[in-house]
Amino acid sequence: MEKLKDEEIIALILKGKTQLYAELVLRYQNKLFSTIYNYTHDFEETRDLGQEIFIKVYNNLHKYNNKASFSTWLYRIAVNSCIDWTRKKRLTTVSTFETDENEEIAILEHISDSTFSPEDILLKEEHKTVLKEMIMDLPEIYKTAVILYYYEDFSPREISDILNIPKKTIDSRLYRAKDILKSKIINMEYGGGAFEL
Amino acid sequence: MNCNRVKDSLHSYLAGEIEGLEKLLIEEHLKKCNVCKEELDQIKTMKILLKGCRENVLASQSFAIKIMANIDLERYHISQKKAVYNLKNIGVSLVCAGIMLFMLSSNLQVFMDSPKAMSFIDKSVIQISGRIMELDGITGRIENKLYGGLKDEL
Ligand SMILES: [Zn+2]
Repeated sequence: MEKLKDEEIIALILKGKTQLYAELVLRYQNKLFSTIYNYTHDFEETRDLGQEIFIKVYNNLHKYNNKASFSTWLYRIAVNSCIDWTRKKRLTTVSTFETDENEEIAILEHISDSTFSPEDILLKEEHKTVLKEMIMDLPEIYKTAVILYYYEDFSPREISDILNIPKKTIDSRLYRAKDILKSKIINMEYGGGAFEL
Repeated sequence: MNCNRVKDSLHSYLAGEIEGLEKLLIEEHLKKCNVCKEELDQIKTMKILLKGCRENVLASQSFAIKIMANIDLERYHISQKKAVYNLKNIGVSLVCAGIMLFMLSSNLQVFMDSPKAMSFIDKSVIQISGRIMELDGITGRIENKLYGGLKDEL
């Protein structure tokens, strides 16, 4: 049997073949779980948010129009749930992001860009943990852009569709996020030699 | 093409989102401008570094089953929606027919002056409107059930 497109499945669900929703869940559950996990770093939260998102998506399927792809639309709902989660979390726990952003810009200005090149990248396991923590500690607007662009391979145009924010804003957030991360990485390199760049 | 414009397009360029003349112009610029080339290299480096940090998490095997158990499968049942709609229509038609039959079978002109006749008409009207309310109540409940959204337990 030929595989139905997402949009065809949705049309059938809206005509009453609601059992087909299972197919959409199976198609996207792992991708979505990975995104949520990389957002929360918490398995329980991932499962709960995943469930919440898929039920929300089902209940709003009649609002889906074919303007955006289903995956973009699904991510719109998913990312909003993740952002809400972050905000709630920040209210109940002390944020680890206490760095003064101006201070980071200052660090950036004094460091030669030549130390940051794609050649000779060696990423050890312990470095990954540090990097992941850096991403977790980014302010939410940068964290979301980073996860969608670097982890999930969405383009700036698609991210702008998902977040409903002008593409120009996404471009500048991606630059800012890259510079913050770069300065932290370089800072670490000088401080403790954690990275071999 | 100037540096600012190229810089603004680099994330999109790397995502393969830029095509045609614009792409050619960016590539020409990158050959000549070290500053922009450096920016592009940084994004590429970041991509390699961060890609290595992304964790793949699989949903449990029963996840889809659990979702299906927690959604309202009747939510998009068009056929039932129609049935409810028809029931409502039939109800309203019956009430209308009742009123018409009543009007035809009674000689209103004769009864109009009699208070006894008026109270009879009033009673009938109350009865009819009561029945309309009752029908609305039933269809309303059915509709609520159909479109009521979330089940409580997750
Ligand atoms: Zn340039």
